[in-house]
Amino acid sequence: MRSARESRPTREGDLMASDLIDYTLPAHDPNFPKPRGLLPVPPEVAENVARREAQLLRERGIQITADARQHSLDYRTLNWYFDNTEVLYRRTPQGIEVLAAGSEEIDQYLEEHPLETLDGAVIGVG
Amino acid sequence: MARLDVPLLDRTLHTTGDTVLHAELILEVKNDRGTWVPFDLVVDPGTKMTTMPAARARKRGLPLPKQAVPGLALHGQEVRRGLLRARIPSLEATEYIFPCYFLGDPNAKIADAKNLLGLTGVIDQLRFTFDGSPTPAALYGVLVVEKI
Repeated sequence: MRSARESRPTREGDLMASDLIDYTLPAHDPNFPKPRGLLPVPPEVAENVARREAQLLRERGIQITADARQHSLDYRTLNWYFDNTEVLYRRTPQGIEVLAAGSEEIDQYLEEHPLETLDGAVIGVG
Repeated sequence: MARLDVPLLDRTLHTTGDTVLHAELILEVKNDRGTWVPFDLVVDPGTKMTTMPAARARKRGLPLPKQAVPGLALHGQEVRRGLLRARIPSLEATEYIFPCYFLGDPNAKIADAKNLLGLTGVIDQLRFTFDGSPTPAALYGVLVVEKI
């Protein structure tokens, strides 16, 4: 006979404690296109990064590097389109590139393109 | 000492306008075919144990215990107690073995939960320092990762 503890129902798909889901992001709008390949930087993302850059210069005299700007643009853009979705992506000098999104699409992509051939690709959650 | 500065990740919430921060580290984890599979993990000092959805681990060929631990649940999900054989790109070629709880049914649809890098069995091998001072190379500061 199973103990009361063992017989507790378990749930699949629960979020982790640290997940914070902003359901108003386009990522959660089923009608909003989720592109593959190099992601265009949304104007809102570019504005937010530019605002921070200007603030750092104005308040602390810090001039950020092009790499730092691109890092922020890349991950904010990935989040914009793919918040809380599993993605296979890589960073490129031109921006962030999504190779596949969602577990099944990632499976299929990796069948056709083994990981060993995908320089810099990472499996993450947007 | 080997050291890696990882810029903190920032995003602005649509709903509140708040800019929120977190830290992610790319770990290459060896699967059962000997391939290094690169995963993002959130570095979470509030997490006791490193976790990954069991379904994700199975899909990517990570060694996974057959049986869940009786009587143990995390976030309501069953737990498989295993290990990650991992290395950190850009931080020497050291291989680490981290304990990991694989969560949920390995055959279920993959939950889009993030992988979390917790404290147990990790911070005796790596030192993490969160430094929120912006620099020219990091808009909101960095996570410093050092090999102990």
